[in-house]
Amino acid sequence: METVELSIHRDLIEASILGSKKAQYRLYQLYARQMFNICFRMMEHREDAEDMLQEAFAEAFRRLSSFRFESTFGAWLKRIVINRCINEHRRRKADLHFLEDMAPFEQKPEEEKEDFELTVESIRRAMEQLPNGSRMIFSLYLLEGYDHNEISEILNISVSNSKSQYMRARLRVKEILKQQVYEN
Amino acid sequence: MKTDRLEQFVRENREAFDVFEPGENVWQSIAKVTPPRKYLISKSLLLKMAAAAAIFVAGYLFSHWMQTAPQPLQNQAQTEKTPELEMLMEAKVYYSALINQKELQLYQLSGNDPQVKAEIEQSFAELEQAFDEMSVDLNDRVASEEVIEAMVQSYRLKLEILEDMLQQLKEVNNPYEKEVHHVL
Repeated sequence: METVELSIHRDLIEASILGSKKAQYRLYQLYARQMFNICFRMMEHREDAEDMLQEAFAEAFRRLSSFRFESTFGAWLKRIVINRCINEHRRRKADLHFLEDMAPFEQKPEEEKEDFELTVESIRRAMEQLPNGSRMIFSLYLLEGYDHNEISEILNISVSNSKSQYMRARLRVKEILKQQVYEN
Repeated sequence: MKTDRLEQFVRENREAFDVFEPGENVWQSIAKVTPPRKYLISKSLLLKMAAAAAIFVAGYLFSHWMQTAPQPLQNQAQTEKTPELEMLMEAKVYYSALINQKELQLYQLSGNDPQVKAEIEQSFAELEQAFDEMSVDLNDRVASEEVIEAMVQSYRLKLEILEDMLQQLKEVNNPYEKEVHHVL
């Protein structure tokens, strides 16, 4: 079983609590890219993603003295980033959109259609075509490693809804990948 | 359970999905809104101060015992001007000059920030209280080697506190230096 070092970067974190700009900058360098890509997937636009990244790091540094090393710093920060993005959607009163019932599509066995090549770029482009709510669930589950209980809390939806939406999003991504093969 | 090909591919190539980099201006915005640092004394220095305080107490008890215990006349005469006392006088001149120089440097670097002055005074207050008690014992001609050593140590600690604050201040002014110097 993989062991996770909870006290990773403890020196940097403790120096950051004291207000060391150098330590804070180092933590930023270590986590900015990963967190920015989470923001990008959730907000869609670069400017919005940068705003969320800035707000999330500022909040993290303000609240750093409450960090108890009960999780990794990355997991703690990731949750702040995701909550910031969700709150921004709520503040804008922007609805989350999900895939509608894909019953006819779901009835076909998935294996039959998996003759497409998988690349990071093609999957990323396919994800961009998902409705925002479906893309969030797909990203949170598959890329960020949250389970459906956690996703249901984050997005304030039922666990079963999270599961079914994830399944639909995964099928839709495959469908788009298949279309890309035909188009090429 | 059969592993989904898409899921497996994404998990095996997780990091490759973080393709975007945040703009360079993001950190500047974070640094602006992050609370200013407090010029706190580092943990290692606090430990040294605690150790110095313990030496002061031990020295005080020892000198008190010297004062009250019956002493041969020959020994009492030897305490009037010992090599240790001369060493203390030399150390006082040497360290006072260095301390004044560092204090001046700190004030200049901080733009005569009153917070810096307040924190220096606060840091020195405890050391000086114990130092004054030791001075009384010296005036009473009950100086012991331990007492003098403890007084010299207090000068060194003052200098170390100032150097620590100076380092922190330099770091605030230039957080992007490559060298990592943690205060903890």
